[in-house]
Amino acid sequence: MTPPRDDEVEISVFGPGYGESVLIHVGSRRWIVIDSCLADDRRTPAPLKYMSDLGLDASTDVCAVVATHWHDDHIKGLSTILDVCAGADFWYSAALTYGEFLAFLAVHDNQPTKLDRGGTEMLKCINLMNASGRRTKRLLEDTLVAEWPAAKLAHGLATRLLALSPSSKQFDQFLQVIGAELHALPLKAKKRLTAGRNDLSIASVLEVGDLSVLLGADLENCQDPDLGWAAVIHNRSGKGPKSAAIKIPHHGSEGAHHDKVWSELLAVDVVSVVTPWSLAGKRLPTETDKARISSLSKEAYITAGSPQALKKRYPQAVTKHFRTSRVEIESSLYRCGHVRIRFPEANSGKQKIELFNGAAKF
Amino acid sequence: MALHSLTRQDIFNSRYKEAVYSGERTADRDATVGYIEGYQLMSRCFEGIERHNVASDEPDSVADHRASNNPSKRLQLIDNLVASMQVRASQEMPLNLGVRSLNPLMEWEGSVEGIEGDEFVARLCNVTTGELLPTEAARFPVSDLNDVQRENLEVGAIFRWVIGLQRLPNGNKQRVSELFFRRLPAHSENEINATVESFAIQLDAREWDDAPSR
Repeated sequence: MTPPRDDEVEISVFGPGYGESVLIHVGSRRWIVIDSCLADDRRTPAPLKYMSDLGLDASTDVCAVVATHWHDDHIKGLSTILDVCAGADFWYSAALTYGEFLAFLAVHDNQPTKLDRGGTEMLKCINLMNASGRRTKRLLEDTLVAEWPAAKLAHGLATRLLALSPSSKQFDQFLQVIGAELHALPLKAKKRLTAGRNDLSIASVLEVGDLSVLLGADLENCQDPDLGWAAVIHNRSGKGPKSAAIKIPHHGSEGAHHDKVWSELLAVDVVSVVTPWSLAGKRLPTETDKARISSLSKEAYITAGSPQALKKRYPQAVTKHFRTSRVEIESSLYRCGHVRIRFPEANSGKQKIELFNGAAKF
Repeated sequence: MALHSLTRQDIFNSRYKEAVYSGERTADRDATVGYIEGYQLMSRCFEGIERHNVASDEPDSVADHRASNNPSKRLQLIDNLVASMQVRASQEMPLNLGVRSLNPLMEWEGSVEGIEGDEFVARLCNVTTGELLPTEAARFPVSDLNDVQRENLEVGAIFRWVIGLQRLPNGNKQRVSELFFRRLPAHSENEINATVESFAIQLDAREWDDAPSR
């Protein structure tokens, strides 16, 4: 593998079947990491492994690390990334600057278990940054995460990464709900399931001259026009170039699809990248989701295919037990696929798409 | 006299329940061993109760404990029962003879992600191989759970799933699948307020600089 040229923009999307991470090269060896998932060794964060394979020094080349939200499938290995990327700022939801929300994460994740918890990892990240005196920064809609004037980067184009969500109304509602739940006794130390909480997720847009890439995180739709994608569309329509590529939000689910995102924010010949999600027979994207995304995209890609078979991982005595028991069990181990889009000339819209480690076209 | 008022729930309420999870604080391999030893101890307790329910040779003082319905005395009764069983085990029979034992083939830690009709869905992490991330996901039938397991089943609950071969008192072996749910601790209002306060103090001490990264 060879690293991108200094004047080349790159978007790399990693996804191991449960989890995702986006790595951006904005030019001149300046990189941004958005979320974290683990590589095939299940120890090393996928963006760090990739940068190491390219011969790059993440400790100096990464300028910003963004946590779109604290769910398990977006945050595995994030504290390792922050530890290694010593020169990076850490951007996270402004909700995490409220004591009540931090306490909410702490009491719910305080279980006697070895299993990783998203909230625990987030608190670990914050503690790591605090201990080292490094900068942590707060995100809401319209926050400028990173910005370079045209002269600063080799491609000579003004570049910025802008947060599109959550809306201030969503932010206020979320903190009210959290406050109420935190004080509703008895409060057990158990993992909080976070269905319906993705609307606090941080979607963002990368703009490099006339090139735009929409990064959907896990943002979903809400009935309220001031929340979710409706709020983003209201805020962004007609501003900036339409995006040539999109990291599809929330693993391609129907609940994260909004027609106006496609008609008002994305170019007609948009390239889509989806990271899958699975849980005991439920999978995202569904076949219907794939058909919808394919029909709306010039090309659509998914980062991971099928999980590793149980019979290859367990002795016969164990798989025999699986077959005879009434428990339906399925493997959650996938290869961490990688979809790489390089823009050799950002303003011309030319793209070079490459697939690695099981990633595939729809 | 039968100790029919002493139930499995009493065992779960006693410190011997903790023995099941005692291995948690040690290395992975030791965890499995500790876990199984705890399981065997609990099996002995259960069998002890059953044995006492049949035999009627306990002194009156035990009946007094039972009749008192005093939780601490009930726990004391269990302590006495375990102590007498340990003595009997060492004097009368070699280990694993006459009691059930479980030889684990594989063990997972699970987290309940949802309950759907007669099934609950969980992510599983194979602790036998030292994994720290989910390796499987599974659907378990709720109807297979006993009363104690159902009492602890809720979204967010964590449990151990052990599959293996169990040696029965008659020496035969059978394939078994056992679930052990954790009893989740609850936080008091004071604890929650103190946690909020400690984070608020940390946050107040911070200076924020939200300028764009470069």
